[in-house]
Amino acid sequence: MQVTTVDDRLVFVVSSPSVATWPFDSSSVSTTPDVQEVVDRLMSLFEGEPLESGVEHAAESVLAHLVRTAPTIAMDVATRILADSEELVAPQLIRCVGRLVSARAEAVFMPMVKDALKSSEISMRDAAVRALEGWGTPGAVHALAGYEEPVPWLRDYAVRVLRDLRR
Amino acid sequence: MVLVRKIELSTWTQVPEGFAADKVPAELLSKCSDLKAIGNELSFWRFDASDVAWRGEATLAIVGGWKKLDGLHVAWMEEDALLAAGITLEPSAGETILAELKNNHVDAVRLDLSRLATIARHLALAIRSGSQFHTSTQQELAVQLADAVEAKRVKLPNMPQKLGEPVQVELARRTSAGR
Repeated sequence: MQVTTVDDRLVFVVSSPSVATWPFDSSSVSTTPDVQEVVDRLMSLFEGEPLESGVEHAAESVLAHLVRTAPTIAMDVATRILADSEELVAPQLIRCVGRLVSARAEAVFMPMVKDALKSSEISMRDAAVRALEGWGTPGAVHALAGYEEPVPWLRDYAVRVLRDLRR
Repeated sequence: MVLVRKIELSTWTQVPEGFAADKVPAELLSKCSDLKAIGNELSFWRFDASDVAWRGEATLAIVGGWKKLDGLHVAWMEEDALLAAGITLEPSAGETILAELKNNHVDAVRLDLSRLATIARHLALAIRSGSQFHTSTQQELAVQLADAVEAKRVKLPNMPQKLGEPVQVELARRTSAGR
């Protein structure tokens, strides 16, 4: 089975040439996506086209749809990517979830973003700061308020983000 | 003159073990789009560093080509240093909604792997010197774009929706504050 996105929907190609759109409307087919399929799809998207500032990324619509329709699976998918992926993908995932501006997205992904703030990798901490900046919520302010960054340029950036969010 | 490019700072400031400060790990090519040469070209914004406003102008030029507001990291290098290293620069119209800045754009052209590595080395040295990069938060960029709207350098409706919305919020904030 292959997973792709069409018009902001996850499409599961069950067996060529039939195409099923998740969530499936047929009672004979599972209504939940396979976590590993979504993980593979997202990994492929991030590896194929690294997330770039100012540019929308294809993974955003996949994650947004998952959060809306299957938040538990969204959490499983993100957890698996963070556990399995190398340095290339994990920071992109964290930045990407910061682009999903909804209370549900924040509830699902905040624990991961907070963990990323404590990472030994600066790319993860940078991604976490920018995810919190994207959410811009009281929860994001709270997470940033207790953050101590050792690298000067990122510390400076985080301080300015916190100032902006408190305005 | 300086050549400015959008970058992801965290990928440049972290030097892996075993690499000298002027060395660029090969994996940087795959980790981010900073060195992604499209048509064997890399895009730069070109500004006169003696102009006190050049950093703000470069920021506006870059963000003026965006679809959505985001934080921004930029780095810059001396144009002369790149030319001396054999890099060829050709003017081209930059993708930005700030019409007056479109001509501040150049492409480093006919890049082979050796020339791309030369640019990467110059960028790495510039960034790791600690003095040739700059960051802007989303709100700082919204303020700059709102200033540009108020100065009639750009029209709000010309901005893509996700870029224009935060600018609109900033403009509304100014209105309610009586500015």
